[in-house]
Amino acid sequence: MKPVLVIGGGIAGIQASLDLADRGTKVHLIEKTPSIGGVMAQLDKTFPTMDCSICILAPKMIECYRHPNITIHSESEVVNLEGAVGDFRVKILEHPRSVDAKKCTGCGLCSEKCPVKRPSSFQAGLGQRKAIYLAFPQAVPLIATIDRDACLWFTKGLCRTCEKVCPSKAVDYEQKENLIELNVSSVITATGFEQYNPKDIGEYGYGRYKNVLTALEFERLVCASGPTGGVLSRPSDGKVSHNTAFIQCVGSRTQTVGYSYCSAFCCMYATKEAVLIKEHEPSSHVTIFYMDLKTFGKGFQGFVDRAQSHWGVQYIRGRPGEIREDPVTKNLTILYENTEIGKVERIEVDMVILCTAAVPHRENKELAQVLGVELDEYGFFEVGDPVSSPVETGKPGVYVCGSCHGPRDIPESVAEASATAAKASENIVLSEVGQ
Amino acid sequence: MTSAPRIGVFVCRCGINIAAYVDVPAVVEYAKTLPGVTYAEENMYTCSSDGLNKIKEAIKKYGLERIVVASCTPRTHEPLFQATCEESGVNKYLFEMANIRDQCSWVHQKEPEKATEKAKDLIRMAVAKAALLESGDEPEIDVTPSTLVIGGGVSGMRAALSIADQGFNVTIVEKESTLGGKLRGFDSLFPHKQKASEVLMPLITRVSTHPRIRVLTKSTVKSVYGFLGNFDIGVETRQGVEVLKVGTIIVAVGADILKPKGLYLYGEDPRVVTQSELEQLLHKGEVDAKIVVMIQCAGSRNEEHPYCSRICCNEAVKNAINITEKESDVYILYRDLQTYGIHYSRLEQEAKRKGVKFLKYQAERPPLVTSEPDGLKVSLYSPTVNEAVELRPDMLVLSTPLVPVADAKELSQLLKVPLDSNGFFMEAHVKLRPIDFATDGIFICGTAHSPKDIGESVAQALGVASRASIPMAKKRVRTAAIMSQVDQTRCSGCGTCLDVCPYNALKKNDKGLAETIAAVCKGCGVCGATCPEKAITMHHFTDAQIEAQGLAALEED
Amino acid sequence: MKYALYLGCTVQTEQYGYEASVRATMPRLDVELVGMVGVSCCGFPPFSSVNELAWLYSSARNIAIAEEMGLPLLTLCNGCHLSFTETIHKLGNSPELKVKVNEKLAGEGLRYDGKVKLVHIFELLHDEVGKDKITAALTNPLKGFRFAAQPGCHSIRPSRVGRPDNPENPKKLDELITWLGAEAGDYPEKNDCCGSSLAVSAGKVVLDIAGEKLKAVKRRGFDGLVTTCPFCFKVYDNKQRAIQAMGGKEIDMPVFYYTQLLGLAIGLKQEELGIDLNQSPVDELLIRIGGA
Repeated sequence: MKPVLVIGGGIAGIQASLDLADRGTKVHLIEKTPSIGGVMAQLDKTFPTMDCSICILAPKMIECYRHPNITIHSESEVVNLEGAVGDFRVKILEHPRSVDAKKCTGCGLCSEKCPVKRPSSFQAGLGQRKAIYLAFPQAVPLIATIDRDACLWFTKGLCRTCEKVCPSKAVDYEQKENLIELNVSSVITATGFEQYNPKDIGEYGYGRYKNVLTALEFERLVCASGPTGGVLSRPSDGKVSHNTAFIQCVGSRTQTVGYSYCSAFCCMYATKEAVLIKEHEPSSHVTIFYMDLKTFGKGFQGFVDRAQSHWGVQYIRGRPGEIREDPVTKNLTILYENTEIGKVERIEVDMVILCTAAVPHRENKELAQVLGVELDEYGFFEVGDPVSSPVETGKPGVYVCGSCHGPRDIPESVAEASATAAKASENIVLSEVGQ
Repeated sequence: MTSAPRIGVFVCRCGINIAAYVDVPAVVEYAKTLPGVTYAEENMYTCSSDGLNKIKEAIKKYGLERIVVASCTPRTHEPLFQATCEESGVNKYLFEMANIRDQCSWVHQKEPEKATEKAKDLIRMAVAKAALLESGDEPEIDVTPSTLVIGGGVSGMRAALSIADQGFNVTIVEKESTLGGKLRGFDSLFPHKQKASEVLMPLITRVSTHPRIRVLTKSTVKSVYGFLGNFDIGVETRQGVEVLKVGTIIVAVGADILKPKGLYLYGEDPRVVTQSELEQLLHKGEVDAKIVVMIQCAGSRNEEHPYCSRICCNEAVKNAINITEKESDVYILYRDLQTYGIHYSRLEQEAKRKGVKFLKYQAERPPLVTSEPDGLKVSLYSPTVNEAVELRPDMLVLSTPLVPVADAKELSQLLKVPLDSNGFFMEAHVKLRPIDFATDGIFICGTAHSPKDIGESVAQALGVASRASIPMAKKRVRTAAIMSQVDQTRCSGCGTCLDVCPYNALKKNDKGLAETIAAVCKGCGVCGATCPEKAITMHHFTDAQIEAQGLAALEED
Repeated sequence: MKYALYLGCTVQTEQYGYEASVRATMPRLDVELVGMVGVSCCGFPPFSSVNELAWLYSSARNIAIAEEMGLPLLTLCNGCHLSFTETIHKLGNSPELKVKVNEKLAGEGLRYDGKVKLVHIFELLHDEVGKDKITAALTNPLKGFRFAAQPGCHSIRPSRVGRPDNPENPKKLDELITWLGAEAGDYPEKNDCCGSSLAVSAGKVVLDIAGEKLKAVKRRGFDGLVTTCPFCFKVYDNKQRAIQAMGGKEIDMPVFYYTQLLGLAIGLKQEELGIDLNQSPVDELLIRIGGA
């Protein structure tokens, strides 16, 4: 029986892999970054249940790691695909992490002693990591990686401190990239999404005003494992924020700068983040500026109702026209129209969270070419028939699940992941029967 | 055992999560003083591969027979540590966890000394119990490679097809006389305006002719006995009652459409219809209204049905586009337009380009619908235009929500699965197990779970096909050894335990005494607490073990 | 560097200080200004909503004259610059309109190509004259003073036709101020409109919103407001007393054209720069600036 290829180690890729592995199918799980986990690993809590995100994700990550039927290829990419359903020949490029996976224990000593700092993408740029680093404390695999563009040895021929301090002698500067070939019966694409960068929306001042953050940056701010240990201290002066505003549809539902589609889960994650603020600082004032409140999922309406009635989160219907910064206090003034009463108003807050759209991964284009499948006009993977075959691309044997084909929340991604596993399993049975 | 078992204690620092508040080295030293503790150490992350290896090494080196890990929550990490024990030859039920993170360091951050003392207490309790733990044998059960699908609509049929294509037998039980469910009443579908029949007919054909699928129409489920892999289902068919033996069950009973008599004159005025009634009229080409008004959230997002029914905005927009293409004026009165995602955003934009007019109304000020001598009148205040608006439509369409089917409650009781507060079936975990029930072997898909469109239903249907196939592909599954055991010499046959068991895991044997069905029992303990004769022992949570923990808790240091 | 100087109506007919300061300073920075013969109103942006063809014709003929002269076209007024920019943009995207306009221009013997290089005064100073040349010319750097830049709406909006500075975060005028040795500074009201387009239809509103801006600039501790548009200047400087009378509160904010401050910094006299015509209270500041 041929294995199945799963591209992307976020929650969707993890679910698809576990479904297949649990029923005896071998899986190769390809992940581009040093650890599986995806965006879900960066979230503090999940809506509407307010579960600790990493707490419910980590056991599944560990299950993947320990599962005899799953091989995780981290720091790897798919570079070539040939063949047809039932018999795909695929080439995987494993990038060198410069650390021997068999020896590294994930103790983190190398990272402690490394002199080079870089912005941490796990901390959404709010915190730093070293040139040799562990992706995050619950990373799977928990193996250090060297960022060769930052490392003093690779850039200037200096240092090598990590090699000296590693108790397991796991550092290997000579490590080379590795091209492996696999023969698989199906391919499941679960590469997820990126967050829109709102710097192009000049009127919101992102990148200019320190206290204007994106939602993902906020998740790291409020998370106990984030750069401030979960204290809501705002970037400009570290003062605990007591008056926060959320702006919805940043980069989405727009005909000018950004994308025209609705990003589906932002209203809910804003509500969640608003409740988190209230949980951290009950005396805080929180306002959410929205256009249409998307409460279409199971439990969503109840969650929003509770946010309002129990937590006192305020919802104002109106898309702010501009954010201004007070040059001394660095507080922000939001100019908006409250469309329910038809009045133009302003409000001063100490922090603004921009709820940015989920946008296609910049690497979708290349991957789509490699896989021989189509992207839509935005750059998301295209599904052949969204009604009858919601997880099938135009190419038999290549499936998609999760946000790589349009923004969707975790339960939908998980159900779709199982759906792709079903399709892959059907293929296996078909090929066994020899039809 | 003749001598006290050798206990190993592993105290986790969990990075800074525990170590920043609890004095881990002091706790380790304390653990070494506890009765029965042969070995104790600290780890940075006990759950890391490094930490797990250390446990295995210590078991080997010190001949450990009981393992206590003091770290985070067993909810996420117990299986991992148990598996590690098994790999070193220690039965997984000889493992105990003390939660010194969630229940200690995390909640006592401002009192580190007290947190440290509490950690010591928790470990002392765990060690006391560990000393009394016994091995457990996990029962293995055979899984019948056959599925029952309750409901023959789109979801049920799609799930059935995938399961059958994966090589398992499927029986579909459908209460109507034909397959197809609610989709039969539809005209054209969003987002690509396919005819509903184009989606439905191929499904029905394949299902009806598939060698591994058996369809029982005009049939209903009357009784459910058994457990994962071994369900006995009593079905009333056209020919009488039949008992099916299946390994897994899929609930795909769909949902009903609310018909809110009296709301906005519905049921009183023939010009007021629901969206699904509009669908049928459109299908027959019988819509010639010049001005059509649609009211969203008609009967939903209110006290009675406090949820959003997800599909109504998109259905309204789709129907509005159809009508407006015939040169009529369409107004959609909405509260929040749920045109989410890529496809529906496109649909919304198309509607606006084609001249469909969207007017928001506020929940506190719903539209007022009256029947005037010269026709219907709809009055509302709309923030969209900041003024009062009056419309005189020829036809008023109410976008009403999906509601649970009438027999959902009955079915939930038969299957012993829960419903949520809105009456839809409740899954095991909203985020990570959306299509499983907590009860093993039973799964949920489609609108029976919550309102959703056809594509989403099909995705869930395929999803449950995967979930259900897992135990069937494995052919045998193991269940936990944490279960009740009835002492036959003490049982009086009163049957109270059978009544209180939430999982139907006890039965009366031929002596009229209670007996545990090992494979189904979840070890919840309700029977053990209830039994008036104290005849029931809860393995892994025996009275002696719990007493030992309690006494250990009260011990002074 | 030679430029065809397009003065526009307002500078020529009332904002003499602006013209004076431009003519006094440019030669010191090796910028030669060549007069244009036969020019007319730029078509000022709002006219396009009254009669589009009339506006395009009025605007295009000035561009045609510059093209005939073979020189880049220099504007002093934000409104003029926007009018010409929108004309070039519109005629560039609509060949039919271009033909129509040229038919009209042919009657005068003019021809519009749309290839002219259009430059606004601060664009010229910032991008083409440059920091080094300006700082080299300084004899009386304005050290210790802090000025608020008033870029003015029409120099930064609408972004889709291309403007000489960033529409949300314009920086060029700020930088020009710092090249004079002074400090500039970001302030939230920077991009607020002076309101002059409403002067005819809603005069009181103009005084109101201009007053808010001046008060804000004062609150934020600036020594003066600096602009490159005669309309902004007219509202903030010429109308400052009227604004004060309306509000009853002291505003007292010196307002300058950039070229006037430039002149002071490179050692020119007040009179050469037309500063005696400024109606805002500049005297105290001038004494502190000293020099000539």
